[in-house]
Amino acid sequence: MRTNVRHGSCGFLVVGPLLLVALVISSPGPLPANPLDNYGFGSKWVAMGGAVTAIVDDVGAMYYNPAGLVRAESVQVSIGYFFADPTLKINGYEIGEDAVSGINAGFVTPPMNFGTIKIGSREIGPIKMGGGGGLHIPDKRVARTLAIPYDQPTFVLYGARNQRMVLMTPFSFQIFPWLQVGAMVSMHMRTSGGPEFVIRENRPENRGLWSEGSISTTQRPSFFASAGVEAQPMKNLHLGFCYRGKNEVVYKIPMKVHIEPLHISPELPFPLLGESLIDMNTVVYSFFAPEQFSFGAGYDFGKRCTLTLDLTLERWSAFRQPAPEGATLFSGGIAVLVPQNPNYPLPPPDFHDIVTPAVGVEVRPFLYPHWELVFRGGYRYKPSPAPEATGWNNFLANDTHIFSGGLGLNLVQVEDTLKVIRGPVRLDVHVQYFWLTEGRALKENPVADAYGDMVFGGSVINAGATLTLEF
Amino acid sequence: MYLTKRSPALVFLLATALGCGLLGDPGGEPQGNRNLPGSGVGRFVKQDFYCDAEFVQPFVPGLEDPVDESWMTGEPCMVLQDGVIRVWVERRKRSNPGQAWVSSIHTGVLRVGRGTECRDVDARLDGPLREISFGADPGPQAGAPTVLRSEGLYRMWFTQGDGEAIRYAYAREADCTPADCSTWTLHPEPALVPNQDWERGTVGSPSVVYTAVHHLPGELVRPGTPVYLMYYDGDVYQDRAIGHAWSLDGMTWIKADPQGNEAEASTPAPAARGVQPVLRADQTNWEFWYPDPSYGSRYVGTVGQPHVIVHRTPLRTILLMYYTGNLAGKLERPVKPPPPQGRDASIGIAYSEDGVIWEKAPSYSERDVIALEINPIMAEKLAIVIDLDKPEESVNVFSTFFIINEAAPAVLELVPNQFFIMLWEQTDHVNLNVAPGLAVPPAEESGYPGSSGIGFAYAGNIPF
Repeated sequence: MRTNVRHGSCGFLVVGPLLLVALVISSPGPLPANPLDNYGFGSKWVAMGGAVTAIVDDVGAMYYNPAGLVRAESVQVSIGYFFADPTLKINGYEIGEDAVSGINAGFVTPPMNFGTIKIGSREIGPIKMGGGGGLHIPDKRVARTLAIPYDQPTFVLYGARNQRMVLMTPFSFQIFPWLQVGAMVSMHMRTSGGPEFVIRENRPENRGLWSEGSISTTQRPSFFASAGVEAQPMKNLHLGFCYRGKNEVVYKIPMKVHIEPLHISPELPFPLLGESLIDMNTVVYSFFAPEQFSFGAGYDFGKRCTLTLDLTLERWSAFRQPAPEGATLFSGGIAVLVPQNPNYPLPPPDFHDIVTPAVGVEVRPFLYPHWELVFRGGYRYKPSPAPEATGWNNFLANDTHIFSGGLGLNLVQVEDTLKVIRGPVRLDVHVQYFWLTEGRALKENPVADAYGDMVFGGSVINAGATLTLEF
Repeated sequence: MYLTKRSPALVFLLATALGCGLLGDPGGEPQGNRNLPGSGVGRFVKQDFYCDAEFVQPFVPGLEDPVDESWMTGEPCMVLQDGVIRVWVERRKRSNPGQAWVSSIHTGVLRVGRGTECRDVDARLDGPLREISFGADPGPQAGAPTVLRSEGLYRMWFTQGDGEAIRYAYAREADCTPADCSTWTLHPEPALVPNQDWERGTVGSPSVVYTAVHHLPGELVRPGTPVYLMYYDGDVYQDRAIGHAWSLDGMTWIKADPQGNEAEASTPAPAARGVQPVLRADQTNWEFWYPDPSYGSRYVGTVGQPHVIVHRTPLRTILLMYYTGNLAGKLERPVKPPPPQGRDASIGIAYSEDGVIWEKAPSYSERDVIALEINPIMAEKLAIVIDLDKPEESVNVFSTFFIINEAAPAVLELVPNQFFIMLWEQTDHVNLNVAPGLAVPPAEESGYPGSSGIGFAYAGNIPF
């Protein structure tokens, strides 16, 4: 497919990114994290076990490795849908975890060619720049956060408690024909602030005054980065590296209640309870996704087969207690009546870093002038990052085997039929099966919490399809 | 920028992508919190059987004590018998606090099902209570029964007198059906008498399990063979604690403690008198009563009225003990005005993997425990503490006017690791002093009993 930079396309390439920047500033979309970490982005890559850091070269590059974007040679528009249905059990009973589903969509612009640059006697280039945009939207809700009691058993990796829209705005450069780099900056909105109340007694001297309250919140941006490199040092050999920054949203929710002096009885000339203040502060850490370092390799066995391998380091040791943690201080008259309960800190999760290997294969046995049929398969192993739940924490995480497969149907040379679309038209489908091997939680003291000993496990089935058009 | 033929397609695709995600079914979605397991700790939810009263009235209809009677119903026990829950209680009274109790044992059937009106689960006595007969007279006082079914017989152990002894009786399966289980045969000799120093002449409130979870050595009992384990009160009216005995046949018992001391249980003057309790009061925020002027100078906490069940988790089998903290003797009926002295009894839990070494659930007493308190699992925990001499986090109320006592628990695990029900003895001074005026219509018309009876609660996932 030849690069064809036309005048109209240049205008689109200038205005489009500006519009996307405006969208980024206004939207709360975080970096690709929980839903994409589990269920991928783009059926083609999901079917290959997500072991595609070295070879991804379409809309999927926004998540798997932004460096691959610049390798797209035309405008691509991609839209897909997936549905992931978990069956999670504790002690043989299904706990009713919500399904995860949604739309993954995006577009890639053909790269702008800046030609070569001469540095001394050396020529670098041709230098190209590519970009695009992608998003994931849950189809049930735009966002959801569920704050649950800290000791409630929860499947940390596959629970659907936290769901949100994901917006991706990458850019990518080709330095040499065999070397590409890319990056993405995305933004969260952090929210802090809460209500403040004043409680007044209904007394003659308060005539005209009321008990009242106000709410003051502040939203500040947090920026998260992703970056990657792809290289083709030899014919048929691909290497890649991608870094994804840690993802976390911190909610800080203070609340103050001012209580003016209370007389209780109208006849009393003096207050029974002096002026008081209840000062509460709650912090919630949500939407965590670990910092990730992905190393990938791929090899093309001619035109018919590609084999890939990925190793990813996931820094789960940075996972913080997601349950709301609060401190309440009493001062003034109420402090005499109500004991100042000690605010014991919640126990830390004590997660550890993990390495997840993955392999993928694509086989292309049917390559014809008008259509192509492609078979894909993959496997990923994800060990549990959580310690055994022997104490007060009940984070349930299983060693998981993830099997995936899929088909791709490419309709080539469709321009004569579909005038607008230059082609090819690609339809990819995928299926993923997560096998959560049995986990055990043998409590040090089985009466120290409401749940006791547990065995837990289950499965998740994810299926979806993606349609990609090239213009 | 020029519009091209591909522009509408792009706009359409982008609009479709943005438009989706705003559809959906708000609320009611699964949250991953169904069928969560239960350890037996709770939270036990008291069921309200008199919806027209302001406060929760957990007294089981048929097991409450009418305000105009002097009898009290207490020390419940439950057995699941051919799909039917049979309940055993004592009925007792005494004219004055200084007099001995007069008591007898009664039995009936409890029906438990989906609740109506203001409660999730309904529990009612199905038919009247029947007083049981032993064939031989055990004396004027027989109470605090514990019953189990093993080796082809129904077996009962109960308190005789005011702590004189623990007796044993049995019934053939043909004589103990869901319809009627009131004919028993009394064993002629006591099963257990107070013969250890710490018991100070009184024993009572036995609880017996038949289980392979025990501490007996393999030379004595082949591993995996069940034996009878008993837990009972000693020093019932003073520094109450819980003792332990074991038996191979349910009739001949040996007292034992974690230090390996043993003594014959039915011999009035055994060779050894140093066998110690297996559970003592040490959780200072609820097992002790602080208005007692001797606090700080002598040991005043109490634990007693044990109820032990065998609990099978997916990974092991353990024993759970539910017990009363902060109660000397038995509960008295609330009176107006409240007496100047009174104790606020609550219910706690402990577990054991061998029947002789027990560990309690944590409470606020343990300052270095980074966890929410568990013990007591059944109590009222008022936020307001006026008595500044009381240790911090104490659940004991500051005035006898507000005492609500929970004591003498009985627990049944109806669905393993999922659903537990509890009966207990409750006396309620708030009900007597405050609640009658808050009932709609007032208590005398609405019929709720007021202040004394057997309460009902459940914990876990309702199976019906």
